Amino acid sequence: MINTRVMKIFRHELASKRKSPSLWLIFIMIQLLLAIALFTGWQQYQHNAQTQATAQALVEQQWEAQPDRHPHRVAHFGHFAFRTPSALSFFDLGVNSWVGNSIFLEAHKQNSANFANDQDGGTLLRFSELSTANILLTIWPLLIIALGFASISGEQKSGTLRQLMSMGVSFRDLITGKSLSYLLLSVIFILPVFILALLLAFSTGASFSSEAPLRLLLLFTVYILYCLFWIGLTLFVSSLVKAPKQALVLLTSLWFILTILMPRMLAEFAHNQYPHQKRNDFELAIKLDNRKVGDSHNPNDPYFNKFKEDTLKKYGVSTVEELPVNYRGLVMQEGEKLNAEIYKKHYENQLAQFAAQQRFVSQFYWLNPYLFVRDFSMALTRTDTRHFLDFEQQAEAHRYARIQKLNQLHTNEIHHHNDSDQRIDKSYWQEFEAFSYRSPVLSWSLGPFSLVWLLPLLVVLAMFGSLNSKGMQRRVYATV
Amino acid sequence: MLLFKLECKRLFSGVVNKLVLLLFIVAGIFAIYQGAQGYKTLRIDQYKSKIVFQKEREHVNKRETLPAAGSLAYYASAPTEWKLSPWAALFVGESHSSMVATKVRATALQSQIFNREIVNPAQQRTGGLDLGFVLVYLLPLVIGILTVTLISDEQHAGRWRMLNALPTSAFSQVAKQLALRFAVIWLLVILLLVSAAILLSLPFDGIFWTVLAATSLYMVFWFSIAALIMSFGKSSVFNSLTYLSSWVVFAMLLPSAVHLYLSNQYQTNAPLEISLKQRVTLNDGWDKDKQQTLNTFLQHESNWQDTTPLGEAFDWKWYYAQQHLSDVEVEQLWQQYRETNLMRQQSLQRLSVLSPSLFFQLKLNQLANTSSADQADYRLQVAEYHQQIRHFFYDFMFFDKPVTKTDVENFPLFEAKTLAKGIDVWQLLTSTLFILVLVIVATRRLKQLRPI
Repeated sequence: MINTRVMKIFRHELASKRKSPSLWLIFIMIQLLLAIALFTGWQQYQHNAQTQATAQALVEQQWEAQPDRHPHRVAHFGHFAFRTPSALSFFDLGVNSWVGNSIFLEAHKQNSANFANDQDGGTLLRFSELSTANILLTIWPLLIIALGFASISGEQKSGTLRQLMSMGVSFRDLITGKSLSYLLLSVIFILPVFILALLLAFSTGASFSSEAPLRLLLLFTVYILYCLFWIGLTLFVSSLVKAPKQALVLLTSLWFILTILMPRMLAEFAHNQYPHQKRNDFELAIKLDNRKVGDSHNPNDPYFNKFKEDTLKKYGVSTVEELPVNYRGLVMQEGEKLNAEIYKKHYENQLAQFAAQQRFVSQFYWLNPYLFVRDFSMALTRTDTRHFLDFEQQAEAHRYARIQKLNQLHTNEIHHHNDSDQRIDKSYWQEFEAFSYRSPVLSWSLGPFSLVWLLPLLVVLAMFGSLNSKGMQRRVYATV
Repeated sequence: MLLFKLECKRLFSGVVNKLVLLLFIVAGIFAIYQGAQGYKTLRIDQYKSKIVFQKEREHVNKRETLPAAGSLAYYASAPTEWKLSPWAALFVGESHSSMVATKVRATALQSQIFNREIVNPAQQRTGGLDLGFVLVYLLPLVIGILTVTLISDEQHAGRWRMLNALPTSAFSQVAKQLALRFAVIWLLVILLLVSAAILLSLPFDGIFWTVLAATSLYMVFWFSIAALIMSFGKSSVFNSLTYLSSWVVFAMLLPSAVHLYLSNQYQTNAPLEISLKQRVTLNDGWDKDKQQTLNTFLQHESNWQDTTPLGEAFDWKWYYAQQHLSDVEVEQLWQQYRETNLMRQQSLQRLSVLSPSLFFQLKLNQLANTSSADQADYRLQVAEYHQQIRHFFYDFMFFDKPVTKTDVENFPLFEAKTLAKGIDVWQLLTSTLFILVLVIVATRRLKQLRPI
């Protein structure tokens, strides 16, 4: 497939691009932009990682430094879970700006992550941040368009296509040669930033996992494929539209639709179609459900009266004072369990809506590979919604375990008589495990993409297939 | 007249021209529809919060004996409301990513005002599609595609030389073509704004005319940019790429750069520090001498000085006293945070003049009361209301007055202050002046353009 003619076209195309001073200028400027984006992303990452780690260490220390206390007071003192940014978030910030960084973990209540960096987001972040991934996703395609919009239509217009034809150059040779040259330019263009990212990832040291090079390699592959999509689209439009100017206008319109308009429309539409609850509604629903089941603080609650009967029967005694354990502690455990179940039910409804919104968007991966690459890149860098929700769930699991452990101490170490005046020894606080977020492994990160990557890839292949088809050659050469 | 018809025909002949205008209209209608939906959910949220609170009050009043004031205060989460202008449907700003109906009760304030709205972060990340987006970012591209190749197309078709030879100057021909395009786009913008106004029953008041005037000015700005680019007499391709690059710089790169700068310059962990500090203060409070806590509190709130000393049993007044003291403890941090934010907003105002797109976007959000300054303002109103609630309950707790059913009914409700924000005529005038200068420069350069 690659013969000498292809190589000649390839070299010629490269040489002609090399001569253009404005291309050099844009090239250098975007390289600079990428470097700035990577550098600031790196700074931001380090700052965040440090802030979260310091805060986490502080709350762990505050926890352990507690004096002798009643376990239920400790449960109200609570704890914090901090979200450490993922190691590759300096490359792709993903949804980081839109999600909270810390969760307050306390008894009876599940809090959401608070304190995000989304200030002025509605004014300044309408195109998301200037991250490396974002530049590669939106600005680089424009450059590919600028490189290649005239590649076929220009040859047609200037009459060189006729000469090439007479020299026996097939349309396939032309397309292959040109595609290869643009691909090489793309590789030259994005390789430095990936090498830099790899070096930065290595320099993180401890937080750097062995998976990072693999993740970066996959990122590199998917971005190269993304370049191929744009190269294919550019050549396709350039072959079909006769005037280079029209090819340019059409391509930029397509660029606008694919990278700017369509993602927004789909996201808004998905939100309308599968709405999740707003904060007030969500909390109200949980409150009402909790009221229905029972209030552990209310001594005359029917649910807890039944619970009391059952407990007494289980231990074979007739009053709570005779129980070998503290009945109040048991009530706390039961209350927390019920409360957590109710929360989980509502939270899972929310998760299902989020997932439905995402599924809706992912139906269009084949039509718009931008969407696929954007989401795939966020998944690889652990910065998508799913990874954030995973943090929330881990924090909730940690909260539940911590509070129930305190309730067990309440049950076993505090006597029922004169309950609230007792304290347990401070040495107990040392027995609690610190919160540390377990980063998902690659297979989990890419879970939702098991097969969906096939369709966008097929689209790219089909595009090159039709470019190389006899029909296309006839169509283009017929108009010469 | 004949020429006019011909020009119209030319404008609507290209597939791309028609496609772009269609895209503009479709995006605009979609944005208006979405905006109306979104605004409705915000209003429902605010309305529902009020209803829920009203029901709770009725529920409390149905009881035979009312609970103690302290217990009542603990469960009385009263609704507040971020007073949005109906224009918030078109220029959403921060209104969708933050709480518009925060509930607040008499316990420590700082643990309540940083609550976040539940959003799908993936949706937020895309940047949203409101009419503001269509006007600020899509509109310039429509202008570019319809205008920036006018002269180069004439040159290309070989008509430019001929036009220059005509008694009426070539410039007036180009000016007519530009005016026609301006008129068509302007009519489309009016169509969108008027249909939005009718759909959302927006009054045709000062804001409407300001939005229209600002949009027209913004259009003139991009028309002058197109004219400036044309005046260099380069090829269509050169013109298109230059125009597109300036759009990328104004719409994407400059706002991102400003965001980067502001995030670095005004980095603050105050909310986190506040909540960490408050938690420790609140918790240590239980181990401190309760009477002493109460005395300290009374120094801050001297209106309730005549309260009786604490007894042995748990007393709500001590509970609320220490809740308030924990707010006092972090007051300085909170003030610092507010100052940093204020400086950030002022900085944003100043920097926004770097990019007309950013400036226009900011102004639209400000007109709709959805900018981050308005959000900060709302937060302050919530803080003031919180004080009102506290003081309401203090009377009962500190003077041992029982709460009656009338008292429950007289509970103070949040009243949103309508911010009488004057339309900044000066800013409009300076923008006009700036754009006028640009127009003059572009016109002069265009007039001097001669066929090569």
